Amino acid sequence: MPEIKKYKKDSIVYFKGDPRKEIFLIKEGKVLCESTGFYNETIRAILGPGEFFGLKSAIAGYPKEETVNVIEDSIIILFSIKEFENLIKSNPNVGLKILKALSSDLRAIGKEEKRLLTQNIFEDPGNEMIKMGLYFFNKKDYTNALCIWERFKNFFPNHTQIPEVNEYIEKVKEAQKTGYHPVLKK
Amino acid sequence: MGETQKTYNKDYKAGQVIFCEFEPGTSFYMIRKGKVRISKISETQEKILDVLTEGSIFGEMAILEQAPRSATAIAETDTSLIEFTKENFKDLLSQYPDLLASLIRILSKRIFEAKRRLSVMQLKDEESKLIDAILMLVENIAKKDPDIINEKEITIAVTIEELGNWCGIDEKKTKALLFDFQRAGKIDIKPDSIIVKDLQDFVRIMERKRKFAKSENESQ
Repeated sequence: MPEIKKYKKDSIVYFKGDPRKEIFLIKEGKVLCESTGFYNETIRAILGPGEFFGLKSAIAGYPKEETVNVIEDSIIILFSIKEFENLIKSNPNVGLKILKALSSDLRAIGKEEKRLLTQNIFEDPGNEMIKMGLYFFNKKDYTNALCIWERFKNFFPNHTQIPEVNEYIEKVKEAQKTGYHPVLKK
Repeated sequence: MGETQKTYNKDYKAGQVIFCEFEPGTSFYMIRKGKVRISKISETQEKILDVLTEGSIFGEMAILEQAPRSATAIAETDTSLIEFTKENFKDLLSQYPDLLASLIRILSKRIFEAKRRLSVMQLKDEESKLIDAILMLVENIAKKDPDIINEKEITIAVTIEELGNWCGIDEKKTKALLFDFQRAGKIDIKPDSIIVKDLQDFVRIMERKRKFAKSENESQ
């Protein structure tokens, strides 16, 4: 059974770096979560009834990321991971809401990552797919070579190398019949 | 119920491609039967990142957005998958009550991994980035094999180019810096891996650099 705990105003639920494994749900009251952002800036969030904290870290098996200060007398429910999983099994809407929040977190981090990786981002994804097809072609795995090139055409219909790929496809189809491994012009 | 389940099943023969890196993804999968390997394929080689078994979920980034697939999925054996799309997701949730918990777990882990990658890229100088990327890759190995950090030599299956990619440094610069490390006896460079010969030294360097960066930030 999840444990229900009372916290007095100005007390601390846990500190950043704490390895504790529970997931916290606010039943009554308010807390202030303080964590460090991408650029060492302090992020403050006030949470109230119905909101979870300490969730990601518990589930992923990492220490807590934030220090949680109680700013109003609060009643907080502490779930073990197992208890939490049971909760979302019987309340899928709670799980869906959390999933959405996690997705948007991850998307924000992904954006930041892309921004920092400007110089080394993939050249041309279409071109990379053509090369993947060549990998299978070289292994004489014609089925997968064709599969990848057809997908390429489907997803990049305006790519400049469509004519070459069409030629590849024809030659490979021929090879499937004759058994002769053709030479492809690059 | 049998009827609906059938609609969302997809079967693949051993060796068949399920999806390709770079193509936009709109669905994700759970393995019902068989094995799936996740690979990065270039013109000359296939690098296997993982082999997944029954019950595993993959391609889940597609529920976030129509992002390009970050790797290729190939049926390792004859495989039966359940395909999840935006449309059937809620419908399938009732059939697979554990699915939500699994997805929450996967995304939570992803967030920590992505934050760790970000912490590498945010370092200011390129030498720090490379050292920290090496430490990050060792940490990833240690998650599966915690004893590895006590080994004298730790082999990381990563090429120079890939390591550069983790840090956003071009191949030439990465090569130059890594050869400096090799000359100093800190690492050995192999064609498809890097051997770390003094992990603690790298750990100490990074601790010092992070402390310095922090005090610099605070004084600003």
